[in-house]
Amino acid sequence: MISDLEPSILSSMKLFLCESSVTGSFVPESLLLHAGDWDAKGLHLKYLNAVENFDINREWVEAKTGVIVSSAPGYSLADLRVITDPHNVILSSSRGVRYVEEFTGSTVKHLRPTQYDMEQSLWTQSETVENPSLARRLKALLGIQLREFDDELEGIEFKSEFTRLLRQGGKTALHIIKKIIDTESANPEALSSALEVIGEYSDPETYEERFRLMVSALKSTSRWIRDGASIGLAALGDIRALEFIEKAISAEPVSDLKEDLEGVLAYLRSIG
Amino acid sequence: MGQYLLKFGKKRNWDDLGLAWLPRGAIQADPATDLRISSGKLSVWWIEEDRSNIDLVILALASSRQHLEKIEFGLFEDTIPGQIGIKVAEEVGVSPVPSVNHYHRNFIEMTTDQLTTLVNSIFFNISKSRKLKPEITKLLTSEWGNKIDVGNVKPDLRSEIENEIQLPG
Repeated sequence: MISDLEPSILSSMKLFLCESSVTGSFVPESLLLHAGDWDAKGLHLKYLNAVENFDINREWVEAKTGVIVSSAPGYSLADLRVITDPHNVILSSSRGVRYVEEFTGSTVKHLRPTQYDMEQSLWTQSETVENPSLARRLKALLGIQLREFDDELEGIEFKSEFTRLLRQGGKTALHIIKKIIDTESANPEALSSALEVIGEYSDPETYEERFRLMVSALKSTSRWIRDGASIGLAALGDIRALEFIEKAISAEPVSDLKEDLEGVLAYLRSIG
Repeated sequence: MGQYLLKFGKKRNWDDLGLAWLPRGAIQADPATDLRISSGKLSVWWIEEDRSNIDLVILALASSRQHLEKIEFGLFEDTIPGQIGIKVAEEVGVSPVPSVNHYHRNFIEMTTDQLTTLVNSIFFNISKSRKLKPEITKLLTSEWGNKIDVGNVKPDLRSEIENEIQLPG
């Protein structure tokens, strides 16, 4: 438990941790957020102005500068047990961490750039081409509730429509999809199927973007999305994915999914 | 003693997540929603004890679909339905692989109670597998016109496989 946080914050759906505005000798280089099993406790990182660096058992995550943590319905942020610096010194609201209950998009933008942001600059620079209409249609398609995915015909219709939008939007569509994944603003089952399509889609122009999108999605907090990304990478058949799949296997907390990732690894090795 | 092969809708629905909110020994409802039962029937395939027919059954499942697609399935002991009072009927399948259709079975006259009991009985021991789409593609192209009765394959799938055969790799 976070012992010295205000109760109102603990019951909040979102928690914003910021070290960039904290001055003094206590400022940590990074924060370690310990929660035990993140997936089982329904905790998610919502905005990654941070380095998402889970430990091997996904019990804690390292965050730089700032991160928003949310809990799924029925769960509590109280499951976020403790925050420490990299030397496991426990931090509190009076020592190295600032908690902001309410935040806005502009609050987030005022954070100083991190290495993560710089690594992502390829994406953001390319996103100067705005296409609100395409974004709206992709969000609508990927936001649907997917019991109908159990029906093969409905799944086919989804894939057909998604492929059409992908063809129409090219790299812009991929940037929008990456944003949707990063902000977890769609149905994970739909995104999983979308990632499979992205891997199967034949288009040399967007090959590198598709590869990077799927590699990035291997780190999603959703097991559905991690699964879809690995299946997409298998479909792409690019042996550069081997090292990323190996890392994903090491970090994977769901034993059933770990076995499936090992299946993808074996397949990629067989064609390598 | 053999096994039954149950095709999954989504394998992720069968993940053992050990969720904190579950009472001890309970299972989340997701796998129950994954089973497609129609008119009280659940379609399964019987697998020989030495699993000698499993590749053919997978071929039957893959060639029955509308498009090339991964196949996800689970295997469980064939004694389980009898133990929980589920009736099994030997109803010949209609897949494009004639040599394997006699392995098809239906669990019949299923009730919601039996569905729940079935999921509870198999969840922790079912052997789960997946064949990726490229693996299915290779399987189908290798048996195209041999074990597969091409005339019984749906047009879209037929077109996709014939394209694969013409443009290997």
